[in-house]
Amino acid sequence: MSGQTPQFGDLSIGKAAADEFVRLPRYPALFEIRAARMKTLAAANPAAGFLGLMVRVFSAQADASLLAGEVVPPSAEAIARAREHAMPPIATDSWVPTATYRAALRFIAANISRDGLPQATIDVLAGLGEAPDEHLDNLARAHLESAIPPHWQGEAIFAVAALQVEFARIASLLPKEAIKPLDAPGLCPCCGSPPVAGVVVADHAFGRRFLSCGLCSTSWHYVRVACITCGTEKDVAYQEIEGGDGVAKCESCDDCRTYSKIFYQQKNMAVEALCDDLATLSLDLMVNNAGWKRHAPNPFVPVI
Amino acid sequence: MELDRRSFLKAGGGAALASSMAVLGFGEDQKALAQAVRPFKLARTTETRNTCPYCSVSCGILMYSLGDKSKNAKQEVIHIEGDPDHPVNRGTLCPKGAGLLDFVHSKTRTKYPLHRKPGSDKWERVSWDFALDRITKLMKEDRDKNFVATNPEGVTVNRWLTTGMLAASATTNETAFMTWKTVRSLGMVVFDNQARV
Repeated sequence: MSGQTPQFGDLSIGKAAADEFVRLPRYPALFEIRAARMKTLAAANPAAGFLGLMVRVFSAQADASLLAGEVVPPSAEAIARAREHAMPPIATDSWVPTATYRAALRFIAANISRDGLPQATIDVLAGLGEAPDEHLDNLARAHLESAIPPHWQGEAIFAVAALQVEFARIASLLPKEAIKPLDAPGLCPCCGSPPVAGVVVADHAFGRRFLSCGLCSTSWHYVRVACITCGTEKDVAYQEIEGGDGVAKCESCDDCRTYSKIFYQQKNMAVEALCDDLATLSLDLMVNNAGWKRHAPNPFVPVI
Repeated sequence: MELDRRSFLKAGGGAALASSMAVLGFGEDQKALAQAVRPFKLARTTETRNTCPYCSVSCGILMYSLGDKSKNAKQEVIHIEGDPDHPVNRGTLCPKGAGLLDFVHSKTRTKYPLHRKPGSDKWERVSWDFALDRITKLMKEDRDKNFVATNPEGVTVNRWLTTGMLAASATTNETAFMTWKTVRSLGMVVFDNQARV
């Protein structure tokens, strides 16, 4: 025996993923986090102007989230009833426009800095400031029913911003243990809305995919390597821009011909589903050109 | 969201009311996005769910590979990790499983039947038909010679002790049932259906 210890290279056996189904939104911190992330991403993006507007929207959401006013979370009884029927406890179709929503929308419209914005945006913001309650309510309904008329598409994204504040606030008050998967596991278990994208996390649930709701910002677990639209595991592939850093990919399904985005936190801890989705619209363009349709739109870029 | 480059360009080029971006006066951004992707191509990878072949714990694995099944391109496994959604291993692997990629690409990996003739010092590639016929023949010879129908007290035992069988892990209930029935009906006693190997 020479007494030498044999040397081996690193061999990763991985980390055990915690069994967690839902992550409720971190209200109101999430809007600050988004504003900061969007600011980082916007600078080098081809759509820097539009993403710059998004930074202002997220900052305004952060301020609007501190406004006074009560929201009413569903009663324990209502949550139990929703759970019994595998329905979302704060379903969008039973939502009635509230004073807090209108206040948030008016606040956002008034407090976005006009400096350097296109005249069209400034006009839309001015119009929103003067609009009656009824119009604001109609904008919210149009978004929640995915039926935004073309001439409302500018205003609608600010209504979305106010709705996000409202729904994230209610969702953050829900009892986590009462939230269970819906019969349609690709929809938000809190409000029933479609996700903007999925994130493969690198924290205590290492390697698991969490979808992120485009409305209430709840994240929920969805098994990896399975189409979030039709559930098949067979014809799923990952599309990314050649030579890319592997952070953003599109999970495409050859069965139902849809795709959804997936971000790998292991490659970049800072990824945030909504911001990174908006910052990778070029990937959407390429994958759409290749013949797949997006599973559901990003609420800030509703229809092309 | 219909987001192809053509409609994006059209919208950016002035067709009114095409999207939130155009409506809000960011038509130039749309054009810039469409231009930015022009020089690039998409790269396709797959992630495939499978079961680690080593032992009866049957850990879930995710295999990452390059290449496009539909285009007859060469497929290559580039990475293997534990399946974080699998209830058994929740994303982890033992050192054997963590070394699976080398197992896949190993130069000494057995891909087809090899035969070393009695007295020979080298392995030769043979057909599956040859291998299966040869194994069957040798098993039958051995069984005919050594099968024990009754013990010294005259009690029927039907045992065949001179041949044993090792089956692998990651089998379904149906495979395990078939294996059991086949092997036991021959009278084989030395039988392990797990990969403690």
